[in-house]
Amino acid sequence: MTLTLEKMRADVAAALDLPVEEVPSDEHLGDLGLDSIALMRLLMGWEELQPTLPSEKLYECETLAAFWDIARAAQ
Amino acid sequence: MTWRPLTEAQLGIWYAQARDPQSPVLVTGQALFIDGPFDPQALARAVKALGQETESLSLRFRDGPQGPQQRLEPDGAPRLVQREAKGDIDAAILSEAREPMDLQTGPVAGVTLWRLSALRHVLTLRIHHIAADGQAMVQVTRRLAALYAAQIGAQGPGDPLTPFDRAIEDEARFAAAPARARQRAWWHEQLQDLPAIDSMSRGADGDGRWFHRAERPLPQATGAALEALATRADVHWTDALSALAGAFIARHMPQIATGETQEIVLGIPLQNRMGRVARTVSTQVNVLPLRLTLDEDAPLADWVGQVGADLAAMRRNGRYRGEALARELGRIGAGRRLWGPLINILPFDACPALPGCKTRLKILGAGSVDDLTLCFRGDPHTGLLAQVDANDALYTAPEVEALCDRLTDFLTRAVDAGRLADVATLTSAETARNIIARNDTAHEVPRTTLPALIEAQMRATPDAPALLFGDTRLCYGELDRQSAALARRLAGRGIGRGDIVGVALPRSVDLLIALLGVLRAGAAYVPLDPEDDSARRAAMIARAAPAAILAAPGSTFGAIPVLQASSPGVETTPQPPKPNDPAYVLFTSGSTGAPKGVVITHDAIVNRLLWMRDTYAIGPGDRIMQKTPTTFDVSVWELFIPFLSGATLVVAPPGAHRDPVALAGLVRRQAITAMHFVPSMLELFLDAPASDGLCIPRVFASGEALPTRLAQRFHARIKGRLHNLYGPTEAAVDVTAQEALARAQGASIPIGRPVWNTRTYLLDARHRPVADGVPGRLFLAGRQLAQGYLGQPDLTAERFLPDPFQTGRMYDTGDIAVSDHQGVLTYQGRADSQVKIRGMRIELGEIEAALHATGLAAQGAVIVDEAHGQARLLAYAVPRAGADASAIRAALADRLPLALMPAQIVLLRSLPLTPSGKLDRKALPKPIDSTFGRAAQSPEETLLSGLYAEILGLAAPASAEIDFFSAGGDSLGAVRLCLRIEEETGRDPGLGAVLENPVLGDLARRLSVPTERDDGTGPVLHLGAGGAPLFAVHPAGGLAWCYRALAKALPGRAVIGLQSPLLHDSPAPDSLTAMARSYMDRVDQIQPDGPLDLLGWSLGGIIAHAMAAEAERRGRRIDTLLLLDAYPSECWRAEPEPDEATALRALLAIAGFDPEAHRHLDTRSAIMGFLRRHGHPLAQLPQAVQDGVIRSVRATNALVRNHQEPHLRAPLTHVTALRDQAGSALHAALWRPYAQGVTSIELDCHHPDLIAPETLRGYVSHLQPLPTPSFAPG
Repeated sequence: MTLTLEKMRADVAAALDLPVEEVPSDEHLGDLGLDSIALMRLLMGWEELQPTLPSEKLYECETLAAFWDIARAAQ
Repeated sequence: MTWRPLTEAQLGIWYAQARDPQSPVLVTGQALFIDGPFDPQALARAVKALGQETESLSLRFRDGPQGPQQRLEPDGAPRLVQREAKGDIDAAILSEAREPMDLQTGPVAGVTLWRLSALRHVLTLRIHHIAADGQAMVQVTRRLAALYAAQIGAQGPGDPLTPFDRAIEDEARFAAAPARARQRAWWHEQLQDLPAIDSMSRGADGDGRWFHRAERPLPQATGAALEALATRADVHWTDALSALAGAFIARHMPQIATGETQEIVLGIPLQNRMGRVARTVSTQVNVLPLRLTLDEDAPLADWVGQVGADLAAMRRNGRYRGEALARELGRIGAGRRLWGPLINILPFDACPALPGCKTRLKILGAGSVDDLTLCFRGDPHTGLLAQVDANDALYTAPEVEALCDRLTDFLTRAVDAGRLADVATLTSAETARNIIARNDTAHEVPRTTLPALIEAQMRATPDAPALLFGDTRLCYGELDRQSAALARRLAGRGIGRGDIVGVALPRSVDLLIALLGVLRAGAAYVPLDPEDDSARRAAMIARAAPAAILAAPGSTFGAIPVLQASSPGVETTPQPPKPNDPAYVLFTSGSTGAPKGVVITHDAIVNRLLWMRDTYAIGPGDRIMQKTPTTFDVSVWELFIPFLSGATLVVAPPGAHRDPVALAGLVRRQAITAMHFVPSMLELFLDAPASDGLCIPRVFASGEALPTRLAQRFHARIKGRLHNLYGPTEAAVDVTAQEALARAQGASIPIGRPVWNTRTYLLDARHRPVADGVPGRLFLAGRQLAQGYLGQPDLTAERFLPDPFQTGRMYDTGDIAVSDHQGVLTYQGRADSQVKIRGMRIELGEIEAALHATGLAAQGAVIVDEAHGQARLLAYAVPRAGADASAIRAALADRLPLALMPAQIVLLRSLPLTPSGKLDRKALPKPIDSTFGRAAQSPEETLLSGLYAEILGLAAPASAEIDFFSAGGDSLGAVRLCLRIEEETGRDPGLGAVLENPVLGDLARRLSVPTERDDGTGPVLHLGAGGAPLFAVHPAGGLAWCYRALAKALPGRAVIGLQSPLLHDSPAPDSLTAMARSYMDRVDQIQPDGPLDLLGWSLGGIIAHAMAAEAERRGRRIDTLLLLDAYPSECWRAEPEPDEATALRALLAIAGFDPEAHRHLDTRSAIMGFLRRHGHPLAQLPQAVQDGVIRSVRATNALVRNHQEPHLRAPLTHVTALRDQAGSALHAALWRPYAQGVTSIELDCHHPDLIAPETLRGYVSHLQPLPTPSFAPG
């Protein structure tokens, strides 16, 4: 299994206790309730799927789309 | 660098700091202990580099007309300070941590390197919370470590932290995001019925300048079990820990412990660092309320899962600022918090690594502790540390240490529990102490009976005086003969053990013979009120089914035989009672209204009486007063303890127990050595002049909470000791005791500790022991417990439960009490009649204590009136001379938070009492109906009628004749009224309009005339309508608001306040004479002819004098010129002119506060914050007018120094405030050169008191409209 936008969306939705359709790609994830503790856990999971993921760059991203841009570029 | 507004998060911190600028509690701080080779020079360079790249360290702040602002000051970051550590390094670090920071002058951060030795250093880093939160602090520390490593060449410098602008940008981004409205709506929905927030502390609400901290590591196994619980609950361990810590806090909340609610409100800090602010040094953390509902019976994992879901929902709405919510929900200020204790989980490792060194981090500052914070650092793998930080104004250090022990113990047990219900609150050591050690009251007391003890005494001292009633004296031998004869006659009628005999006699010798006769016959007595002929008494007789009733001749009780103490009859030798036989049956009120008969055995009452005889050394020579009606249990010790001790019983005449003068006379004539009072009656007794200077060696109080100030009054008037006793009828009179000393503190005297062979338990709603300081339900166990309720086994089983801690029973008193750390109990009220106003638990005793503390009420009581479906507080006061309701209200407002302010203060001549001498709360009259009078008619009146009712809490629309202030409105209410009028009409009438027209009809007329907004700062302020004008000239501050009380005291006069044009940025006049001239122009317009009346207080007096001179120059006559503690300008010439700071502090004096009592308030924002918190209208003044007040103080003072008084043809009257001027160079005679005679009035008061309602009565007669007679009648 590789890291995809939909995998990321599903993981974020699970972390937020939200249905997938309520996590649009362009919404600020902080406004949706993601915090740095939850983000760290997500990144650990994603790094296992994609060891090339430059996770330190993801910390300042605000949207799923921004996450995916960085992840895709590193694939 | 431009000045910019603060972020919402910063504003909250700004205002918190402005409340107490000298407080260091908002500075976050930490110390890094460094062991190993370390290069201080490299660190100095690293600190410099850090300051250059980290903007927030250069922030400076100022307060301006648009509110506080900030900017980056070039080169404004701190440099490294190097210090040699001498002596105790921990103390040195703490001392540095407690230095306040100045946000205006900066810097807002500090870095110090303490050298302990060549290889040991400590690096302290401090940043004000307005510039950084805890997570920013971690980042700054790591960044500094990286820059140091780069300086010594160990690594590259890495990326700097991101610019401060990002914090401002992110706030603007969220402000425009659609999420904002969604989150705001979610919070308002969540919090719409938010209850008042409880603190765990019993202390007063207050700002602490520091905090107490205790910390303990959690066992490794607890961490593992926590993770297992989190897995079962399907939440992250941090949420599971928050839930359990919340459950722990709940155990300490008064309303949870007593079972009134299952909900508490916690504060949860959310880090709020997602996205562009992830690496910005700024304050981002957002504290939001979590409503935690307990379910102690649910499987623990289910409940933890539910809390986890609530926390997730909260995070989804966690960007909306808590400060904004607090503002929108009106949750600002003392007693109106948005959340209670905080739970903060910080799983990040904050300790940075330094090349070649070992490091250890110690967190010093917390960046604000409002109440209490439970903080957890680390994680279950590397180890969890529990920290308890507590506001040092609310908690003591030992309390916090005990709390931390209890927390770790609780968590250790809770992680493995099936449900919360199974988890004890206390540690086993605490349980052993509270339940076992504090109840170690075992004492040898013989198993015997009252008659056995009394007969022994009678035989030992047959000639000693036993009983005194009026002129009748009985010696022990005579008492023995008469009571034995009655016992034999009762036995002759077949009455004995197992029987009950009624005694319906007034206080008399026969009463004593009857009681002793019944007991010696082996029967139990049931007292019946001889005056009472009610259905209630009939119900008691039916329940007790007495074998006979001893009563006055001619009384009838249906078929029950009526006897007299001296009735002749057949005599038989009675069979004496056994220790476990009933001695008496006393009826008490049941909650259903049906009286309950409490059966007390000889064994129980003997324990109580012998304890008392021993504890208070009662013996021959004592003279004990009997005044309590026999239907109350206090009478039992009064009646019998003399006969167990060889003392003399002095029986008060019937009715005397309600007559303080008769009682005082009896005490004096009969040299009473011991007696009892219910506190309400003691109050009346102390009020009677006849009680002054009495000597009563032992006075016992019980039946109601004993207010501390009453104990203090007792000691001021009476020579003797005062003892506070507590006990329900169900436990043989009293079960706890405490001496009430003159130096006692707190609102009421504790009820103390248990008596011999008695145990007291404070338990929560699930019968678990509560912690010290937490209110619990009081249960009693031991030898004094009643057998139960006569003929009511079900009720007996309900209230007398199996003792969960030992064999035997425990009685549920239904009382709430709290224990201090020594096990001393304080009574707090009844569990079933908890008083709540808008969900907030109210201690009526606290308000009553505040009422007495005003010194304006001779007696007072506070009740909750729920007549109209809405609870409100009513205060009743018997005013001292000169006090009125508004003065009492004003004095109370200084002592109580808004939530505790009575809605109305009702003045009474005396407080009603019940037959037993307790305050009769039901007989307190309901206050005047504010709907009385003409109903509202015009649209304006109708609008105001509703708004008055809304703000004054009236049940119905107010009448057109109601006066806003007389009906209980205060200045804050007036501000709210203005806001509401503006909301409804779009026009703000201005506070001045309400101050000038408090009567609804008048204000409505004012509203109907379109005028400019009047904020009460115009040149002329009309303070009273109708009658001859009286001009009152402003003091230095320029406002004439201070004359409102005077205007109220002069209903027949139009009091016209003259206010300074300097309030509105007009240029200052050239001289005081010019000023007086322009004021006289105003006077000429208002009152073109006729003699003038002028007055002025303080500097206003100098102006009034100058105006009088100007008036005479214009050919006008002066009738009255009254100067209130004003002195000619020559007195001030040599004094320095007030500087900005002094002028600022004049604002406090204008608001009615003593500036000397609030010395720490020395900046404008501190003073305004203080006034806002006190709800003072001055705080609502526009900035420009505040500036005007300061301008006026300074300019008026300058004018005075250049003024030379002219001579008046008229005389003047001068009032001196003796408490300030006695012994000083200032006195009325200084005016002699400047007037045609000076009449001097001297009042025993301070300068500011002269305008207060109670003081101005001393001179107001000089201002009456009609010429006053030259001598006062009578």
